[in-house]
Amino acid sequence: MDLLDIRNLTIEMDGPHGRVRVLDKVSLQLKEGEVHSLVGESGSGKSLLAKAVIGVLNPLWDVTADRLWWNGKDLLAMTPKQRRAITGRDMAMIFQDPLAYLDPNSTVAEQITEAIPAGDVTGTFMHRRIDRKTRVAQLLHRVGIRDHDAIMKSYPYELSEGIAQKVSIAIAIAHRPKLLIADEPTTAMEPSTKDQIQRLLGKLAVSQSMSVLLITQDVASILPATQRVSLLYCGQMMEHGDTETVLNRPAHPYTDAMIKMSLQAHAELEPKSKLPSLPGAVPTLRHMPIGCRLGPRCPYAQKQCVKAPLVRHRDEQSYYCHFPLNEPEA
Amino acid sequence: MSHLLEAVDLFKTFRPRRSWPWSKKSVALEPTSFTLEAGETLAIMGETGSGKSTLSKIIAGVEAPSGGELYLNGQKLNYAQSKRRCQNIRMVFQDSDKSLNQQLTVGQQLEEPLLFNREMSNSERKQLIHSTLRKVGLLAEHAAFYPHMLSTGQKQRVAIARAIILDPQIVVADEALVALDPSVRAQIINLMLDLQKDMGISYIIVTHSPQIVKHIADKILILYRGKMIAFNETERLLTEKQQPYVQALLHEHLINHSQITGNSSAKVTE
Amino acid sequence: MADIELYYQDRNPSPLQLVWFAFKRRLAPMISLWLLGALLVLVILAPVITPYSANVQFVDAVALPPSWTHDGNMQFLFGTDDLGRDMLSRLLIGGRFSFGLPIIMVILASTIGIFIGAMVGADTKSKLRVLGRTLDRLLTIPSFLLALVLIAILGAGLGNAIIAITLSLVPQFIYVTRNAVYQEWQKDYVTASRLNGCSNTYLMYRVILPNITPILVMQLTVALSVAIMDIAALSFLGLGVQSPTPEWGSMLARSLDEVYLSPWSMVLPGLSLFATIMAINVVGDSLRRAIKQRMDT
Repeated sequence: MDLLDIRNLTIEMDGPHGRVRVLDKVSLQLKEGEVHSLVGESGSGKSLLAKAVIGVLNPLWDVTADRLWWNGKDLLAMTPKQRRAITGRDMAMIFQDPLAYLDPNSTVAEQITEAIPAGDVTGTFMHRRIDRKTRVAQLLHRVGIRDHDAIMKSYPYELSEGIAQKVSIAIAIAHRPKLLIADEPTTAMEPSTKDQIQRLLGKLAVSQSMSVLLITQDVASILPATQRVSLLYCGQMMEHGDTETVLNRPAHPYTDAMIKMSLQAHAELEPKSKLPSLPGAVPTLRHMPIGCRLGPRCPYAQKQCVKAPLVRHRDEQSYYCHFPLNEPEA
Repeated sequence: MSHLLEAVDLFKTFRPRRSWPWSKKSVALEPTSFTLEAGETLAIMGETGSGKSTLSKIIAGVEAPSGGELYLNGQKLNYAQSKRRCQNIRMVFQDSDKSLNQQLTVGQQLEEPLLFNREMSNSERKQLIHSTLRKVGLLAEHAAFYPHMLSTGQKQRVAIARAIILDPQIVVADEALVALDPSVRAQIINLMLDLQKDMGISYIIVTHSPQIVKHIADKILILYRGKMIAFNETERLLTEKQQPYVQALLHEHLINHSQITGNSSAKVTE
Repeated sequence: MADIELYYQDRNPSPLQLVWFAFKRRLAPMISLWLLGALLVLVILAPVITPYSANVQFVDAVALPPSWTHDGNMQFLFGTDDLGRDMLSRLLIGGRFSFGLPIIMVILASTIGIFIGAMVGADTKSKLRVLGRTLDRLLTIPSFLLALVLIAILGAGLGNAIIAITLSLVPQFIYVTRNAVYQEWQKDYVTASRLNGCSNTYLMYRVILPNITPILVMQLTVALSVAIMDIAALSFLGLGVQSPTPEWGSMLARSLDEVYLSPWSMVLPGLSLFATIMAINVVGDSLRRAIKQRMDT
């Protein structure tokens, strides 16, 4: 059974210019212990998807889905209280800017201690105190911070970007969640720090046997350990499937473009040559194209593309396109 | 022949907050010298806190250096000479959202540098604004738009239009490419390369992405904790053997992990 | 689908207009704004539309209740007070002092305050900063108390009350403007304009001022309600507007003696004060909400 099973999730909101569909029939399955990368440019609704799973969307928005299941239980049918219980116990989230997320007025040790579930430490007062301290040190070691003494005593503003993100990961895994949602955790970071955080997330997924849903805007920054990848554009799912297959033999023109536009691909081009790019800009909420929303920017688009394509499958990947690329020779 | 831009021993110190007047000043940038030729692209690289932003701000005139000289076309450029500087050196900021005035239309913002630096009639100004907008891939109609109506990529284009409208010799871009979406980033890089070809602009780019640097930079300047540890042509830096720090910055996949972890945790305990 | 746009037409409202649209969409603030507008018109036209002079005494109609009561008389719509003066005329003329004067005082105070605040806020050297800090200390004294102290020095009277209240409002404007300007000054777009070679005056008026307008307008509404309260309170204490000039506060004070005999002489000025201040606060509050809404989206 899938840990998280989303079928045709649709989110609609009333904007100043009428009703807009910010997420259009998105399906996503996440197995236990799986590392899944969700790739999309800004405005693709990738953060909305994460918020819908956690359950922190604006209550005025319409969330409908054929299925939004967590471990076989329907999240949409639950009361907010039940839902919070599940979210608090089994899910955790880290964000792009750890310094905005950490409490500036308490030390790292205090913040991690707060996140340790009460049932974890037992015994007399002194026992609990010592237990907590060792747990904090353990957690810091687990996220790759060796000199835990110094870090425990410091305040968030004293930490470098990478360390702060590691601390926020330590807080996130303190209650041993089944799913960690990482919302662009490395976007604004330097390459070396980025690399560290990515390795750490991959390692934690294995050692803690938790699923990781990584949200990123660039194909180049998906985790090395990613098993499956999904691409989102303007609230529509473009393609998803096994990482190897999708990245080596993309079926959807958008995937193809994203791969060609990634930083890694730039390195192989002649210096100062033109970079490949999609023409135009991401449409605003007011002017969403009908049918396949990539349509106006897609180099392969034809008349049919004003009708939203149905899902098609090929080996390990599924895609939503009338004119797929890299078709095997018939 | 003189260089387009020559920096001689530029440095910047500052007094930490809540310190005594006689206590030692912190050094943001140690004396740095480099040269830049017309039509070249210089990339400034380094870790966070290495002073790369400070250096770019000094060149653009946002901050005054604590000492050292800057020569433009062989003539000395003082911090106070804002007119000469802003006609020749322009800056593109990291966040186009914050660097555009939300309350003015695109046209009004592009008019601003013209009002203060060019003697032009109203219709000439309008003409120039329209042609500049077209040059950066926007429409003349965008002049009537307010920034909040534009997408991120379009805003960045407006910021670039504002930088090139005075026909400058140097454009300083401070991390202007990092946070952009892939398709927008590729478009903006293409635009910058086109403008360089057409107008002969020199770029000074602050970034930490080795791939972008490899693609567009002619020269690289590497800072480490305020000190310049390498300044050379891109090809030579890439092919010849370098210090481990330089290697790590330029070749992402070669990072020596234990060393980097050691560095960043040292920063905390300091 | 009610309106179908065949041709794509884009309205391009400025951010300030967007704040106004958000403000306009709500009912209560719009009613309040209309109320204030109507009051302003009444106050300006007061000498023309009042049925009688404010101080003329009708001996045959002393302490006449309002016209809608059993004993009332249509000649005196809101009745008369204990000296036989027409309440409606007194209220309207009194509005000039209770509502019109504060507007003028706030305009004066804001001009001075915003000017000094902008100078202090934009100043990067420490010279003017001392001035700003000193004026901050003045804020620890409530504005009414400050006005009282000034009155104690200058002596009672309408002119002195105006000076005192105006002066006591200035520090708030300086404080708000200084902080707003200082905050905007740090932002990238101001740096960008500075690098455009803009003069300081241009920076202030064209670049920064539009960005802090909402904050200033909010401060204006706060100051206006404070000024109305202050002048009413001073007159109530007999330190501001002197009798027989009608003013809502002094009318309240006068009515204390005969509140059981002619309650309307207390209720009417009290209600006017309440309605005016309520309307101003609703407008200010909704403005804040509209700005916040605009920031969030």
